[in-house]
Amino acid sequence: MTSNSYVASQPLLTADGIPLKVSLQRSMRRNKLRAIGLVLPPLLFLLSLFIIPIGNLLTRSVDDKLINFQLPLTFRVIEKWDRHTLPDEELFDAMSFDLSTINKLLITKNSGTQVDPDDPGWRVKIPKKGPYKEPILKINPNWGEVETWLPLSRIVQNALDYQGSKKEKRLVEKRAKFDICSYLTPLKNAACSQIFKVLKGWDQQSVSDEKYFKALYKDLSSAHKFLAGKSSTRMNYEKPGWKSLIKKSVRNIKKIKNPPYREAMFKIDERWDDVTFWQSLLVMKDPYTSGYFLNAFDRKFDEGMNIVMQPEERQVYVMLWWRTLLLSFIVTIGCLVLAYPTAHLLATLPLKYSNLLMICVLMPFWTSLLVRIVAWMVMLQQEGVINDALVISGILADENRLPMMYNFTGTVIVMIQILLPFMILPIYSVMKGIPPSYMRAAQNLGAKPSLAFLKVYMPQTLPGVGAGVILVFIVAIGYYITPELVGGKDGTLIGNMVAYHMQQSLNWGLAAAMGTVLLVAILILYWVYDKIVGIDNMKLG
Amino acid sequence: MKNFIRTMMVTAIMAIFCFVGQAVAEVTVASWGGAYTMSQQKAYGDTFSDSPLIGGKVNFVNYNGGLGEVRTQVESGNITWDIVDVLPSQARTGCDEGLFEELPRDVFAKAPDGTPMDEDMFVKVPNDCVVPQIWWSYMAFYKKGTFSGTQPNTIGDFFNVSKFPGKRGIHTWANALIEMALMADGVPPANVYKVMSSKAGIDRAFAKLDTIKDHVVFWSSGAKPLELVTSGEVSMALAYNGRVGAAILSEDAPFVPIWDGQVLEEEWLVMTKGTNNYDEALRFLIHASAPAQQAGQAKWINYGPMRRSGMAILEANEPFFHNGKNIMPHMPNTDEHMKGGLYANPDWWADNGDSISERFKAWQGK
Repeated sequence: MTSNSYVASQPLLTADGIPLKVSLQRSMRRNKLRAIGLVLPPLLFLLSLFIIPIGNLLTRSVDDKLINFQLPLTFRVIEKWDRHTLPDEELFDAMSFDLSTINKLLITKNSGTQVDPDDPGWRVKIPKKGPYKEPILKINPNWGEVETWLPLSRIVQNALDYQGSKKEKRLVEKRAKFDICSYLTPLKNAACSQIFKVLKGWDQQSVSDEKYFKALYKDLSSAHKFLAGKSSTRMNYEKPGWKSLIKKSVRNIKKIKNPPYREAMFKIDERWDDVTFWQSLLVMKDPYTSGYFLNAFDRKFDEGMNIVMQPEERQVYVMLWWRTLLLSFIVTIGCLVLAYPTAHLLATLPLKYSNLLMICVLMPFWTSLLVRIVAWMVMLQQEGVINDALVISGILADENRLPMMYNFTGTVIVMIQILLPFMILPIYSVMKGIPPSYMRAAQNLGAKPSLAFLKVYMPQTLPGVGAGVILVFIVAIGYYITPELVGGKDGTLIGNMVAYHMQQSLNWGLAAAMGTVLLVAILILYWVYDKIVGIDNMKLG
Repeated sequence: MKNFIRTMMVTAIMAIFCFVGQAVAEVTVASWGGAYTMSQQKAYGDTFSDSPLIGGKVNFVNYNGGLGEVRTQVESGNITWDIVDVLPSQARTGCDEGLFEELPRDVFAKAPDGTPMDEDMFVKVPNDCVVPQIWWSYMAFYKKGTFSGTQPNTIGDFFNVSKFPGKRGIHTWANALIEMALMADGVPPANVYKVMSSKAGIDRAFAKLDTIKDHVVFWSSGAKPLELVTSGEVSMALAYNGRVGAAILSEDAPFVPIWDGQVLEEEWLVMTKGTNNYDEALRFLIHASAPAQQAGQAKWINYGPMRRSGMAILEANEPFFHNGKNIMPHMPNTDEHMKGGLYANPDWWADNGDSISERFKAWQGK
């Protein structure tokens, strides 16, 4: 009773004796590795030149550490404050130290909760004209150890070892001076040239000589100036007035010889007497803050760390978000309405005509963007071509010219024309692949042309429509050039505010926060689109 | 044969590298474009290259203001702009943050009577980073023939859309608009900043701006207001006075300037921190701030030199403009033109600029 089914008594073998399963796995792994190898270069390229730099910039949306470098003692002492009445001497004391001394750059424990307000190192005064060694060692004895200076020496050595032309060597040395300061401070644009000079001939054996400490003091003092400037810009975003207050105080606090500092600081500037300035410090205390994200939605922290709305006259972002979404939506729908018939025409005409029409679609696409925008300006402006034509032909009176430029309408019109090819091409390429026999078959089975279109033709074009819609919407939502040039008052979008903060107000934290919100919004929309239409249903041709 | 070709190619490549290595150091100056940069090119750039003593190439690039790109360049260490032409608030902010090199003040050219540069100026030097450039102003202007009957000649007329109908062109940032709105509302120029320091004062300025809100067209680049007025898109616009003056003087454009209510601003040249061409850039700055070159710029555009000795050269050598016309009637900082105007206060803007700008953006949007 032999059974007809084949029973393997031992594993299947390939021609060279290896089990089939193993051989199969090996070849599949080889294929997978080959695929990874092909994808790896563009992936690394994307990662290193796109994801990492942009990610780095976006981290600025929460990074608020700069102020903590500037005011470490103040932020530690302020924890004891009651937040309502004017602070007492201890806090003024701390503030005056933070503003006028460089001890925070020398002492080891100079951040967050590590700061010990009772550490005598904070109170050590380094005389301006020297001697420097003793006070610095009192602040932090580590500066007497060779190990502390070794990393700096390494930077100097690398610069000196550089082989190149004389000019190149000079540039490398200059860079090294910046690198030394960025090792000691959070600044990237301060030059520690004195330290560079004394470490040039260093034998790495001892740092007992006064000259090392003099160089350290001089360089850190000049770097400290820039730290104050940079952090006061940031403080000014929180409460206008900090910038000039810090600037004035830094100049004048050095003149205060002895405590008490409270009255002396009142004399320097009456704003120190204003409790709201001190309260604004509470908001800036944390090294990582969600303040920028709140600002991106017209909100801010008050002194109790509650979330409140910005004053009415400064509320602009929420309105801009809505307007951006609305405009992108209108542009997408407009593009769809115009692109669908065009694509259908292109797909169904004989090749001779459709090629010609295709050139009409692609030619503007290849023209410079700015040229197209300026052309629209000429067409749509008050004394432009369209208005003039309407007035000359008598349809409009001269006073009732249509305002079509430098407003919302103008932005919509120009953006639709610019983004039209993005919609036409995916739909066209999908339509090209639909056999015309389907429509004929549907009509043969008794459907009216309109029903056949709705039930048979349109569902097949959905992947192309989906691709076009998502492409146009994502581009429109972040668009900046067109609203900047033709937007006028009511056509500016959120992208313009991001550009403003990057270029003019230098509030990169806020710009990064808005950029992050845009990115997250796009990702959410992409996810929603996936759920409704399905990414696999998207075809670009 | 193959060896021969290979050695030839290697030699050629090496020769190219050597050539590139010897290329003349070029100083790149970032400025605002248009007639302004043209005047700088003629007054500073060409004279720099032609001078047998200093020589060197100067390359002007355009930018639209703001320290964003400067900060990016300094932080990344990749400096492409050696010298930047900056507005007063940026001259202060940038120097405070360490974005500009601090320059030795004693290398600069003295006035003919021996006064050092820092004492030869109309204003006090705010810090060690800046080199004087020009005085310029925001001012209103219109095209001849736009209005029949009374012609506008005060800043109040700019804000009066019923008497002088048509749209208004204004710039997309708040500087000078607040001051002009208050002056139009009747605040004497001497009290403007006092009024601005209170919330009620700012509210008053925005209320005045509201009166022209529906008639506003915004511009952001210097040549645009001239374009808007010429094309008839707006009937009056605010502009940089030099652009209007250059058009009137060089091209006989039918513009009429309104000197009342002008807001005078400083303009400075600064050197980016960490630039590779420090020496050449410093030589250029010394050259550009010398009294003769300062006056020379007024040959091409009607911005006032910041150095008194430069102004003196102008007054002594009328007609000064390059096509033989008088330049003093178009200078913004003469007593007559300053009667209804004021000097902007960059320190006030350094402090309050951010919050006023946000309020202005909000106003723009609504």
